[in-house]
Amino acid sequence: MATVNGNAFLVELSADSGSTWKSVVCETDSSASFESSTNSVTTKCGTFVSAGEKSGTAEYNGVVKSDPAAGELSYAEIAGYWKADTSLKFRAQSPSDGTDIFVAMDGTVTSVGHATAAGEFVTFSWSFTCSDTSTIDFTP
Amino acid sequence: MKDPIKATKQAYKNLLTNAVSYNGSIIPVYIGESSKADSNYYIIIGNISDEINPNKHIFSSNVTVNIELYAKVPNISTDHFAQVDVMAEQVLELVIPSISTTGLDYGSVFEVKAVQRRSSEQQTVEITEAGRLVTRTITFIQTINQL
Repeated sequence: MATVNGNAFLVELSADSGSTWKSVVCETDSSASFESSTNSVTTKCGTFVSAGEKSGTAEYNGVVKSDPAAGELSYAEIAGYWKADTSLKFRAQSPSDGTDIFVAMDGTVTSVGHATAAGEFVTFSWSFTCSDTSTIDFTP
Repeated sequence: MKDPIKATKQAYKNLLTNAVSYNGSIIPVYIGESSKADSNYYIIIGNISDEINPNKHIFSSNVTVNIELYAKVPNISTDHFAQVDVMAEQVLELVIPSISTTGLDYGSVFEVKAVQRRSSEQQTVEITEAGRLVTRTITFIQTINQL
């Protein structure tokens, strides 16, 4: 059985419509979920259920890197995107061509925050919410 | 990846060697228990363990190390631990001179972050007619990242 190592499945963002992608660092864990609401109508013939609106979200936790490299971004940039409501493209794929697993969507950073404990790294968390479900894509 | 334990042992050895003294004499520093020495005062870099600091982008480890300070002292004394107390003060000043700074140097392979003193303990190891062997163990924990 082929599996994918989480260390090879990294979150990337693009703020220029996909021309350049940057890895968000330093990721400890991330997740994404895609859902559909359901519409159900109960009739005398039975209950009919149909799929409703779709939605997509992603969550990310990581350690603040104070000196991100050219192809990276960290807490400061994410906070800037949140404040400016910047339209972003979200992507996570493995390997680099996404043949094993690929997830993409357009949206914005909808929450961001940090935590700091004595003697430990400063960590940060942020959420991404899809703004146009037609952009949700699982095909590289 | 590089070995964080080996690097930690070397960083402590480099920092403490020729840097801790008692009554004007430099106290020798050894790595590992087998080196328990003939001298009346000595320092052993003892148990070390490391634990991964999970991260997808860097090799990061939390390393715990015991620095053991030993002194052979006479049985008749008002404070059998006075000598190891003096040594402990010097070690603490060397490893953590102030909040968020450290004297440890990991060279170009690792960067050291967040050095803390986790605990400290004094103990009498053995008592004989000739005197007693006392120790102070200081446990440090540090996060190190491979560069």
